[in-house]
Amino acid sequence: MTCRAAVENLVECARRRTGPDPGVRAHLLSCRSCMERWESERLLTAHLRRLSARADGLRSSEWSRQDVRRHFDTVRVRRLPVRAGAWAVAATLLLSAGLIWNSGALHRAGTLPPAGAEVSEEAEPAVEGSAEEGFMAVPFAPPLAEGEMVRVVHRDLQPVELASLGVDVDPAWLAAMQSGSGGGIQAGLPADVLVGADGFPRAVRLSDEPRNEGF
Amino acid sequence: MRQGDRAAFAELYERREPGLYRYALHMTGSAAAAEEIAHDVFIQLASAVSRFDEARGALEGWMFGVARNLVRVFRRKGGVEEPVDCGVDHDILGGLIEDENLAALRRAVTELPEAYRVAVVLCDLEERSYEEAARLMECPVGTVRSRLHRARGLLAAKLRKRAAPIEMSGGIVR
Repeated sequence: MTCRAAVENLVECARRRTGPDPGVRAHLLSCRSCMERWESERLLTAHLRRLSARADGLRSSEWSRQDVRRHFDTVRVRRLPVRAGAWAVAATLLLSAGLIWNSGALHRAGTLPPAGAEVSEEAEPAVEGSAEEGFMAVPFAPPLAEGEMVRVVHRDLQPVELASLGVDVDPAWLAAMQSGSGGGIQAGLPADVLVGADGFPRAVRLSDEPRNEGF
Repeated sequence: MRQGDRAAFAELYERREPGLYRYALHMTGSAAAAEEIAHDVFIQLASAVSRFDEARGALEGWMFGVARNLVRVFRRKGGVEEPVDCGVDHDILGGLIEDENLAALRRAVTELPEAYRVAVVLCDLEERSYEEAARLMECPVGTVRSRLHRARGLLAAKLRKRAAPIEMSGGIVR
């Protein structure tokens, strides 16, 4: 047996606190350096065990444990609203995307202007809309909360009111409308306004049914 | 625990903290550093638990990885070892000799190169199997074994210089 092979076995035997294998034992009798290694390995194992035993039962202080728990609670509390908020934001984004898509569909679908009215190309976006078509999202309106109830209010709106809701009315088209309606349009343009539970308008569409139910 | 279960986190702390503390203690030789390191591992875990991906490895491996990095930071900053008060009763002379020998051994362990030190701490001081140590050290079992054998050879050589006091402690069986 070589010394290298013997030492491999000696280290493991010392760690397990068992005697060396018979072949290694015979080698030890004839090899002084391996015998010394065997003794030092046994001694080392004994000291390492003592060192290990001294650390048994040692752990961090109660303060450290409490601090870790406090931190966990803080992080947990911070995490929960973030999760709920993320759902609310996602729902709002989905709703907004739906409204914007409807608005886009409205633009693409074209318009059915009141009979007899002349509509200029520039005025088209402002006068688009009919009862069958969608709403245009009011720009910069606060997002709807998740599950928030909405209602549709019919109202005659002045051009300035429409402008505040993001709908520009071309003055030329308005003048044509006024002359065509014999002054009836002075009361305002009929519109459907989608209102959130908080009373703020979120979307609007022009309607050809004059009504005034108020907000 | 990922859902913020406080009881699960507390249970994990009770189960893992002592091992992490002892690991850090043996690796640094400092009780204060060990407490700080164990504390910081759990603080990092509390912050990252929702992002922890089990597919990338076991939680214990992750925790030991963080502890290993914190030990490196401590040593890079030039951490100074300090005596560890273990409160063991023993006769005065024998106790002094044993304390001296164990202090010498502790110093010798902390002076080992990191790869060897980890092997000694996990396999001999924490009495983990080669397989467990290999998982935590992220290396093959054969590497753990060879590092441990090499480390023990280095320790034995260092302690041989202090042979007389060690022999007085009565560890040798001829």
